[in-house]
Amino acid sequence: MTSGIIKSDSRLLLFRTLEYGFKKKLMDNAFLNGLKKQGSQMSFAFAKRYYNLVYEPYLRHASYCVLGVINIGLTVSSNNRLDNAIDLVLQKGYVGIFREGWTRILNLVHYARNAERLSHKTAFEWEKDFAESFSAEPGREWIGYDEYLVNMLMYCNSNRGKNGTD
Amino acid sequence: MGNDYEAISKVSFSRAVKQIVEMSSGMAEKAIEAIADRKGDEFVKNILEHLPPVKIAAILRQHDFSCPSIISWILTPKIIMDVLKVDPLFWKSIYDRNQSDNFFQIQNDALDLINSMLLNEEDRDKQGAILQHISADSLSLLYLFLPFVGWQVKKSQTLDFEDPEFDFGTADHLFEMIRWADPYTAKKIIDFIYSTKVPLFYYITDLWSEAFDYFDTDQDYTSVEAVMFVPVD
Repeated sequence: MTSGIIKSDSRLLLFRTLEYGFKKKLMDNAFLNGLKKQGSQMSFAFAKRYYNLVYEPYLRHASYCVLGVINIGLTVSSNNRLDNAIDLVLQKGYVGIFREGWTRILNLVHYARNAERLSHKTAFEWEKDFAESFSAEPGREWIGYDEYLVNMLMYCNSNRGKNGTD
Repeated sequence: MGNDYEAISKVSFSRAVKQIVEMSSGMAEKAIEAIADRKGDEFVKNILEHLPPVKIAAILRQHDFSCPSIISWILTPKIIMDVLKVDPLFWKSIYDRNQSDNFFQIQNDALDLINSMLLNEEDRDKQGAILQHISADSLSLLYLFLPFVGWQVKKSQTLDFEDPEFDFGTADHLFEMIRWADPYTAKKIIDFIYSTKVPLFYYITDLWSEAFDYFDTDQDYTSVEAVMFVPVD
């Protein structure tokens, strides 16, 4: 058995996927340009829904949130594996993967609202808060997936006790 | 050779100022002041022409009429027109339903901004030029009308600065100035007052949405927007 430090790639799964796919010639430049256009359009749509379109910092923040949600969707539905992730990106594009992540967020919102019925937070605010807590800023460590797991554990467990099913 | 160097330095200076405005508009103003000390007003005028109007508006909005920004002396009529067009995009408090007086606040701010650029100008020809530029464009003309929503014309108007009938910096004062500098625009304002009687709330929201449409991006994101927030089965 060899003893040594295993160098793990700590970058975002999406970036690793794109780099690997481009290196192996599974994705060409035209495909990547299409993804880029989709990403910018989604950032605009996100900013329009949750902030506003005027201020530049808001647009930047919206793009980080979109990146985070895409990573949640990709990590969960590809089981954190590179080969599955490449297939997913090739099949669904950014929009499909975002929808995977968004479905997870909506589930979380459902559990969280059940768990904290006394709070006056609307579903809209819950969605926004979760998307912000999962946001991924390039150049910084991404803790979105851990956040997702912690939230899921916390709210699902508190739900189970209240319904009397456990 | 020297001209090329000058042009390049202007562009790079304006790029630097643009980056500073994003961090803090107060710092940007100090930077412009420092450049003006060294290179002169003409140079700064060229830099401001290269800056986008949004950034200039961000600097101007830090001040009010009583202590105007130093760059308000240097602005050309065209830049002033652009700034007035952009300014509605800064009305963040439109979204604030909790504040009841935010619309009056917006109207006061608009009056302050127009005053700081027009009333502090002593050159009457330049005042006239600015007003002609503003009234030539429909959007900036709508902005100029904003302080006069709900304002009434006084019958006896004499420009007697020894014993003025109006307070300094009010809408009355602004109207007197406009009447002297450019009577044509003053007539437009009076026509507006007698023709359209809308509440302040509607006027401000209309102006905001019009400015928003004018500066809306060309990105077509509606097709994505309809799909992306739909959950997967």
